[in-house]
Amino acid sequence: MDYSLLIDLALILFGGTVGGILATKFKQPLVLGYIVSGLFLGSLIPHFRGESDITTIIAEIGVSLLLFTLGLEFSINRLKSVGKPGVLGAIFQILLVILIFTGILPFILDIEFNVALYLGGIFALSSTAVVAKMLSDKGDLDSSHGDLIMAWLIVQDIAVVPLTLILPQIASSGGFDLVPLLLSMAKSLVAIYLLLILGKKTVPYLFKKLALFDNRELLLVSAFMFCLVVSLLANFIGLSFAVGAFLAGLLLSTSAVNHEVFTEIRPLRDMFSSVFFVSLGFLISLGVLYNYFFIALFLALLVLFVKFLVVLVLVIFFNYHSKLAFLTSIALFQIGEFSFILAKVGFDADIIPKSIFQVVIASSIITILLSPVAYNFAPRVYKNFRNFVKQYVPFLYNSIFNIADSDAKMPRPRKVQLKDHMILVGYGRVGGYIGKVLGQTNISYVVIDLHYRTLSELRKRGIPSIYGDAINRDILKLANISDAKGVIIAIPDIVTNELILNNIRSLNPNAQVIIRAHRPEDIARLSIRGVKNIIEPEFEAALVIAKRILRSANVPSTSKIINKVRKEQKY
Amino acid sequence: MEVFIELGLILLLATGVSVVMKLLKQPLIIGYILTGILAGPYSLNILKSVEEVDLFSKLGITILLFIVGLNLSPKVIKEVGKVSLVTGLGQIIFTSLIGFFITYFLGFNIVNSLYIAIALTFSSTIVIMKLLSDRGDSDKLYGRISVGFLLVQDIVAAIILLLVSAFSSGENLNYSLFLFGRGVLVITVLGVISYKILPKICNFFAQSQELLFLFSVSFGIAVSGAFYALNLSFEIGALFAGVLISSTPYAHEISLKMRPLRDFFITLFFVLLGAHLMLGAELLAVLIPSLVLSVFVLIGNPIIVFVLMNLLGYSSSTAFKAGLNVAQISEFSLIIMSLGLAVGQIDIASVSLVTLVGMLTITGSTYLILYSDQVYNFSKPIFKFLEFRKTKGLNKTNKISEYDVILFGYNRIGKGLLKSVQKFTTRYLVIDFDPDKISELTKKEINVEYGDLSDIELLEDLSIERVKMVISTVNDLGVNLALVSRCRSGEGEGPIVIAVSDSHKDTHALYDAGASYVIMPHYLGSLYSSGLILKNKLNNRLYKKSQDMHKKRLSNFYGF
Repeated sequence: MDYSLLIDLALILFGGTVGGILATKFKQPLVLGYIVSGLFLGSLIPHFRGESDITTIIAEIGVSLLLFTLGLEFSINRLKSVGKPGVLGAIFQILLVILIFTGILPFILDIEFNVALYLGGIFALSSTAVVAKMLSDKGDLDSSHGDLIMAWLIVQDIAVVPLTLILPQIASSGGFDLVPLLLSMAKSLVAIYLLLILGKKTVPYLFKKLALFDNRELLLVSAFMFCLVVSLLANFIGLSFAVGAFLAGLLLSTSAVNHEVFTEIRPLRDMFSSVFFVSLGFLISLGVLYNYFFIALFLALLVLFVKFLVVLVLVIFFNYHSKLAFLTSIALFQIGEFSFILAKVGFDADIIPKSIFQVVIASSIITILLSPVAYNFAPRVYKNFRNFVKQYVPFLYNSIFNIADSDAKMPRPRKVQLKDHMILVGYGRVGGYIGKVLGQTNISYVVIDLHYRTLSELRKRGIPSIYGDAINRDILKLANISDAKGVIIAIPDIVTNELILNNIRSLNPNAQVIIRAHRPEDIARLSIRGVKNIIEPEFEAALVIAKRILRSANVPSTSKIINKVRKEQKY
Repeated sequence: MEVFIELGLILLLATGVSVVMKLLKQPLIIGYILTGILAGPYSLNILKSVEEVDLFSKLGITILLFIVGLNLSPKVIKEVGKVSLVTGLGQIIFTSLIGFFITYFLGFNIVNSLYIAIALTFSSTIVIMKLLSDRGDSDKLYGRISVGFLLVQDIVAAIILLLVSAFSSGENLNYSLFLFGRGVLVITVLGVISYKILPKICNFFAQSQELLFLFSVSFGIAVSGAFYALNLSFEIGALFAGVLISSTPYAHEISLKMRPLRDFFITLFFVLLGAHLMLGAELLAVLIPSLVLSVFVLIGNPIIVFVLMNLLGYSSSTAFKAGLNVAQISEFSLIIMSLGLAVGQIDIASVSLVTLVGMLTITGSTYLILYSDQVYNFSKPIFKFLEFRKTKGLNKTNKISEYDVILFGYNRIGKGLLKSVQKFTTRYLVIDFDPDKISELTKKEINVEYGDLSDIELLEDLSIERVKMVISTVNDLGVNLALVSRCRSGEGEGPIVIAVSDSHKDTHALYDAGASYVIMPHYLGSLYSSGLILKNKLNNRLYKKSQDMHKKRLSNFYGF
């Protein structure tokens, strides 16, 4: 019996695993590990480079399943909760990035105009996996800019579907031949609409009936079948396979068994999609990489710069504070995993030449590598840049920051007239709860936050608030820090917190300070600086939960145990 | 694109056929094989990209065997009882011997007959597990014995796979022995190495679910590949890879993650098998033998198990039900046959034969098991005839009236109740169906008799209405209802009847039938403990006291 195919598959998976280990070790996303391992596997075992049918098929199923689960997890309600800035911002960002690259790439890379357009689409998408990891590592997921970034990414992820639908059509038609283009797009839209209308009621109904058998195996086979059949159908009427898979997932997402289907399909998706990412690596050769390294690096820096700028301008345009805009645009500058899918579609459709494809993949990897580093340093870079501008080019400072950070709709911040009040820095989830409690008392307080929407909400409710970054001494002064009783810093970022702390110390040494900490290490750093009240929300939540358990289990001397744990936590 | 169309159509067909199978209460395997027949070259001729489907089906077998290995941890092997070991091995020996002669006389040559005979010995884990859990019988005596069989069969299958792969390479016996030795050596070396290293590796992988999963898949295929490279079979490698991982704490998690993969890919294995089934003249040629062998598996296998268990002292109904569970052949049988075909030792006719036998027996046994009570009543005379070891005593009517109290079932509840009974009378009798417990009680010089309460004749033959008290600790509503109505059928009041139930519905049903008292363990437990809490309230010292008393009583109760 011939087992060579199976052994090939084992090698690919094993290579992927090794790549995955290394990626985890270096705190990089798994996708990166897969691609790099494919690169080496391809060089070591030359026959992977050739057009292996079976790898292609498995990889293609992987892509389908990725989009299938994307559709499965999609929910209209979630998109609605994203809010206007996320949706509009992401859409404008994608269009602008495509436009810019279509304009400049033909002059830089010696490529056709349609290829440049396609590459623009690839570069426009960012990586949800990378960004979500970065944000959660820093505890920024529930911060103001975390919300905005995640919303942005939801829209971007979905945008991959229209992009795979439209881009190949535009790019392969050569130029802007508007009539046939619009015609074929209209055809696609009608087809999608019909598919959704037909399936909206029937698909959930059929799967509900299937679920009655209470057999997971049957559910798995039929879900997989459904994904394949809809993809084929979509392919038959001229849409791409991937779009069909997304639609299949979308149709299933409203059925009652969507979570069961997801858990059943997930292992299959993980396996098949890892083969896809490894096989992307096969397409790159080390020799080409060596020759084109500087081009790839240049392209990566270009993408990074363009995306940074576009996002920055858009976020500021949506009335966000310049700091929030800065952090958001740093977070979103890399090229994402869905870009790889788009790239592969373009490569398979002969739109993107092989050499360009390799360069694109290589520069994507570079941007992903740079992302976490850049994001970690972002708050400090922002502050230094701001100080630098203020010190050396004051006229620019005024035109950049003051215009960006002030807002026509918002009255200019005035100095609050409170005395013996509390200053609440950050009005995210934690800060919001604190505000709620303070509102019940007669303690007067003022909120400082970067999030424009939160602020206008507060204004409506008549709560004194200042729009701005508390790192800025002027903002603290506006909050009348010299007469304040204390400051509550309810944001998780340690760098920002330390900077604010320094300012408080110099402006009002007597103010009582309560700081939120995200990680145990942060507690150590802050207590060295003499802060007595350091709160780690996760720790406090854990203690409350534990206390309830102990109480309900009738464990004696509950508070003694809790106090002991608390003591051990504060070193 | 061709491949996708084929795959889509095949899966569409499979879903449709499977739904029909489910409506007929049949296992999905049958549906998949039928799908294969429909998609195969003799009917719709959809399946053309055999290469890709073949890869997927091999992946399916690999993962299936890997998962089997995952559940074969060396610790589990120890837990298989003596009964399962003896009956399991006995069944394998007898089935394969008889099967071999039948097949040989049906005109197959020695090698083919040998393969077929071995294939006939295995029973389907998927079918048995599903039916046991559907009937809620996994914890019953016969259920546990059946699960024990399956483990014994898995181990034997592993050894056979190793042998097949060793002896497949040629006629040279020395070389085969060398390969077999090499296999054992490789297994030992790899086993020792991974016993030390694997837990550490897995600890690292456990950081990321996706990575752990990917590692397991590639580890499974890689070990299989290594075995293959050493001229041993790919399949035994997969099984062994599973055994290696089974000792890590993540075995369960991995097997959960792998299940969807197995389910998907094994589907294609069965479809492919169905597609390879020859229809037409060739099929007619194997039709008669397959009918003969199916009858042998459906009737002969249960009889073999029945006789073996009867000789070990089990009751007819337990032996019968356990026997029915082996009345079908397994997906394993099909794997071994396709392996034999692949190494060129057997011909396609034998594979078709076994596939057909598989379909017939899996279908047949499903119905046999679903309607086992009716089948048992119907075929009682035959099984009466087969009871070589007659159970003694009990049906003597006069003997029963010597006792005041009869206690059915010496389980956890029965043990405690017996202590109380002993305090007010010496005229009591314990009846249980587990031979081990009977010998344990006999040693303690307690009046004990062998009998199974779920055996309807037992109740009919006993003049149970003459005793003063009947206690049943068997938690089975049907059995208890039969017992109560039997006790109330005579003249006068009849004995005090105490039964056990764990739902209030059943309790009411028992009271309505005339039970004197129904023990509800959960209810009593909560009643007792709420009284305790009310008494001790928030005083920790009182709890300490209750605890000491509890500990003392526990050790008295369990005798340690």
